[in-house]
Amino acid sequence: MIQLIPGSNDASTSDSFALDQKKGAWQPTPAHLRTKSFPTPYAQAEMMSHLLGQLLLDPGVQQPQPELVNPRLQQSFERWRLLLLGLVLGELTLETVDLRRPEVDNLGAMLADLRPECRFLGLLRDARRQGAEGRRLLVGAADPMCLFWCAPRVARENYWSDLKTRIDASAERADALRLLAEWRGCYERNGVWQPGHESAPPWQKGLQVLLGETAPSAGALSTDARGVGPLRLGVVPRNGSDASEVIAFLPQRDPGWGARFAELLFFQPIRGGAGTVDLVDPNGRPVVTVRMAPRDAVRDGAARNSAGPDTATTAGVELLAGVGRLESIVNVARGHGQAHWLEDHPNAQGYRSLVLNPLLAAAAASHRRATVSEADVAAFPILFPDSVRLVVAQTAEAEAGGVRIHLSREVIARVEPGVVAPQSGALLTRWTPGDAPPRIVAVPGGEGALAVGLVERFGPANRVVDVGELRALGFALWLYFLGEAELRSDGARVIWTADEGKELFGRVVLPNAERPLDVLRDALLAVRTDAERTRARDRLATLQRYAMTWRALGDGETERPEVMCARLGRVAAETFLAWVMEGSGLVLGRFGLRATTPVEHYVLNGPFRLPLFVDPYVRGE
Amino acid sequence: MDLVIAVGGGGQHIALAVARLLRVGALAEPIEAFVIDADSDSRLAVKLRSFGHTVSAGCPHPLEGAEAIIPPFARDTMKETAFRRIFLDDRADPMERELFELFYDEESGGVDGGVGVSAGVDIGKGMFANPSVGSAVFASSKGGAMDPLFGRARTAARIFVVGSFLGGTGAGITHQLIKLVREAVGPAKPIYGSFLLRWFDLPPTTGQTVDTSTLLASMGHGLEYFYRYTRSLLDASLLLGVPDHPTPHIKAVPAAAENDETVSMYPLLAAFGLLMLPDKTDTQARAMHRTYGLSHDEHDPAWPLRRKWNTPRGSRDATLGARLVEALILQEVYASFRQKDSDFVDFDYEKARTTWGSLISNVARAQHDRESAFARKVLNALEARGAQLRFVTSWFTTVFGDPDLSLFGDPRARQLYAVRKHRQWKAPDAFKLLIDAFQFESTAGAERARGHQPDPDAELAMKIERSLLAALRS
Repeated sequence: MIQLIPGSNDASTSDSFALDQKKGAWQPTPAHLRTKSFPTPYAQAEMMSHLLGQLLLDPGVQQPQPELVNPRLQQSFERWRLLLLGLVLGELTLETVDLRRPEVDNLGAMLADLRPECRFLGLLRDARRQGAEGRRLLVGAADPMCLFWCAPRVARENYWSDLKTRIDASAERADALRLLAEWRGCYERNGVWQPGHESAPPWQKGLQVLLGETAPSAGALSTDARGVGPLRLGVVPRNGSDASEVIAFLPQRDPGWGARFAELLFFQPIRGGAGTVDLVDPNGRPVVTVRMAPRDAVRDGAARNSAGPDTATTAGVELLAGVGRLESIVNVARGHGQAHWLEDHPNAQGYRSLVLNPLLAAAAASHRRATVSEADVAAFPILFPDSVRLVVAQTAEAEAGGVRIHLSREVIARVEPGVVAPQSGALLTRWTPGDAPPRIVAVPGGEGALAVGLVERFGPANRVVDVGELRALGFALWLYFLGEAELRSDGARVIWTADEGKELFGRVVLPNAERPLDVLRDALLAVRTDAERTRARDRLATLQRYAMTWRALGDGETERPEVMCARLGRVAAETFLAWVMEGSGLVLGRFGLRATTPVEHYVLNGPFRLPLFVDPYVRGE
Repeated sequence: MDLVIAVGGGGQHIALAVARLLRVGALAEPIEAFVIDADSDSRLAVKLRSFGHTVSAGCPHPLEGAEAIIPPFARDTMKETAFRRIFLDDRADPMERELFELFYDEESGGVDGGVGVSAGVDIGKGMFANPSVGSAVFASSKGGAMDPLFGRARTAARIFVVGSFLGGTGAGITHQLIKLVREAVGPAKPIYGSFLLRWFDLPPTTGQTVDTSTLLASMGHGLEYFYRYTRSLLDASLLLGVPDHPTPHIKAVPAAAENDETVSMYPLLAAFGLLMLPDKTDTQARAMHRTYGLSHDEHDPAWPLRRKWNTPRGSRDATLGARLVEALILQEVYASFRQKDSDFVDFDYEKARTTWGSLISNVARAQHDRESAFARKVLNALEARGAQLRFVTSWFTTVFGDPDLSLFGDPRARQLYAVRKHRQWKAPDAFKLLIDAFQFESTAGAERARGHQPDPDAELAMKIERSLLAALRS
């Protein structure tokens, strides 16, 4: 018996046989691959899927290159690579078009009818080359199975060799690959990365071949990358009840974006028109707009003059329809003393209420889940827009270290591109006296949502930004200890009486708030040069008494205001002492007469008072 | 009623096979067809519509619905047949233009103001083996020409989509069509698919846009698409095509010239899917879709004749061979009636006045017609039915040669076939069978009513044929 099927050489023992797997022999030879033979308008995407599916996962193996023998092919792995890296490097942009928009008429409707999952089509445009009608050149599109496919007409413009030159000459190409590897890691951690699986979507195979064993970047997804998209992407479901697609955002390199985004939370969220929330500066000018409802739904609803926006057409696809997108970002620096707006203020809703929680609900609808928690976002962040994932990531980081803090003008001035400004400070209730002093402290006794923060230094290990507020406070306490400083009669400033009455620390009034403890510029300048350090080292015995005085404080019931304030002084003193002794080879002894009673207190707020001590020898104790 | 949706040229070949099988009783009625193709005037289309020019008022098409071929898009009302202009008119938004040129290259989609080749595909002239264009044209006009199909699909007991993954029209629209039909009928309705892969070859020429390698590309990519998207929409499917090392009986035949019917065993086997697929499908486990192939017995090239098909009432032999034996005997019987037409029309045969003569006279009187004139009309109708049977058996003869069918059929049919085979057939044999058949006159039933009531002579001819078949199977 002969099986009546092309590509079969098998003898058959029965009248009929099962053909549950397609036969490899049915596949046209490389020279006969023919895109227009795919029975769908999405033929270009199908061809790209076909080609990616032919890739071999064995490391180092020679990959098939059918384009070498079939010049009519517009799709190839090489071009797929260029599109992906082009997007990550910012050479390409990703724009989403709703195929149900009236502008795309019967073509869009036909495409959306055929593949409803592709209704929101991702378009790749070249960021540098001009296309038709004043738009950027359209060079590709997105697809759930192959991720990206190439526009068939741009080859005539010698486009691909130009893009290849730009990509392969980029100094950031290696960073882009590491970023993609970190992005891949998100799928791995969630059990949906299986490029070798028989039903794996071809894009996973393509990315695996592109990345190989590339090591992932360490956190660049949340510090140096924007999420663009989102796109529907096929995955191998973990089990039968799981979806075979995810809605995911792709990374686009943007060094320092995480830090810049964190700054946006210092602008007040105010509900805008047309389904948006604006983050506004103190003058009421929008700095960025967060889209909270699909643009078309809002427009349609307005056109129908109905009671509210009709969101039925985009229900379940909110993220694809642009919900959560950040629009019209203006590069405005935050002013000194601007409050943080994550949480609600007494008379105004914060970002969490106005933006984050509604977006989590929208994301739940899009991801077909009953609810989405911040833990879900943290577990699979690339499924969420920047307006969600970066907040959650930074909040988690903040909560791990303490409470949210209010930054001084000095800290804001020293924030550098690519380094997230500190968001939280250590709670002194959690600090154990004797441990290393924290780098950032939440000053006790604050009112409202944010504590006053004092920052010694911040940033990652390789990009530490030195501020010095804690050691400067310790320096001021040192000067007071020496009798060279005093509390001004109004109790608002500690001044350096021995040096022209320079102001060391005190309370400052900001446009819309009062900061009860601000380390002032002269104190900061003093601890950034060696003169005062050298002078302190010359008075080791006094320094020893200063240390003994503060090291005797801070134990006890931590909720008591005097204990917390004592700890504040002790942290400042320890930080100052560490700075003075650093590199000197000297060690302070653990003995000496200590001051036991403060001369007076600097009042932070009510019972929260910072004790001010004077050396017993100066006082004649 | 079952519904056969025949798509493109391959679908028409299978629909012809279904019609032939229905005519000889190898498939059971009721089955109706919905035939879709861009070209309703090709030789193949005419052959299907007219069942080889045998359809007349007195002799209906054996496959209801096959008399009409519906274009997959409203070609007649289209202002433009340039593929590009279907989507991009003068007022098209630049965004739509950009999108169109993203999906289609210059060769398929043309360019603005292009003429000739640079205008892209002109669908008025065909799809040029371009399934990506065919699918878009079909999908963009599905609301019009296809509307009647979905109504019929909803009321059908079972649906069979038949076609091929070669060419442009069928290969282009089959997948989208199945998707739309499934959406229309819901998940519970059984839908089966029977599809031809490579089964013919195009002559090797140069300069054509379509050649065998083009067809193979359409087949390969079509199958890839089928396995990824379409297969799961069907309850079961059958794929058939020429194996890599075919014997002479199963090799690819040259495509018929001028778009006529290409004679091959493969469409017949695809039609076998109408029986095989439901048999093999567990309707309680619809998610377990299976795709099947058939095996060819190289030691018995006529094996399809030995397969069991429909078992007509009274017969104990369900093979296709048995039905062909019956069809050959009926042709011989009708030829004998013509040879002795005066005996037939004047009822000059034994027991005529107490059997068919009486019945025919009664009907003639009711029609206010003379007995002999009406009897002649009945004879003409029988001859037309014989022509249909000849259209069927000659096709089988072309495919299988002239096989010996002596071992097929019920005893009476087998005996008469032997007489015919040994050239001992005489006209009285026909009249004897006719007289014996009269005992089944009241029980043999009538053919299913088709829209309009047939003429009395045609109705009587049908009754005679059914009675003759009952006698052969008795």
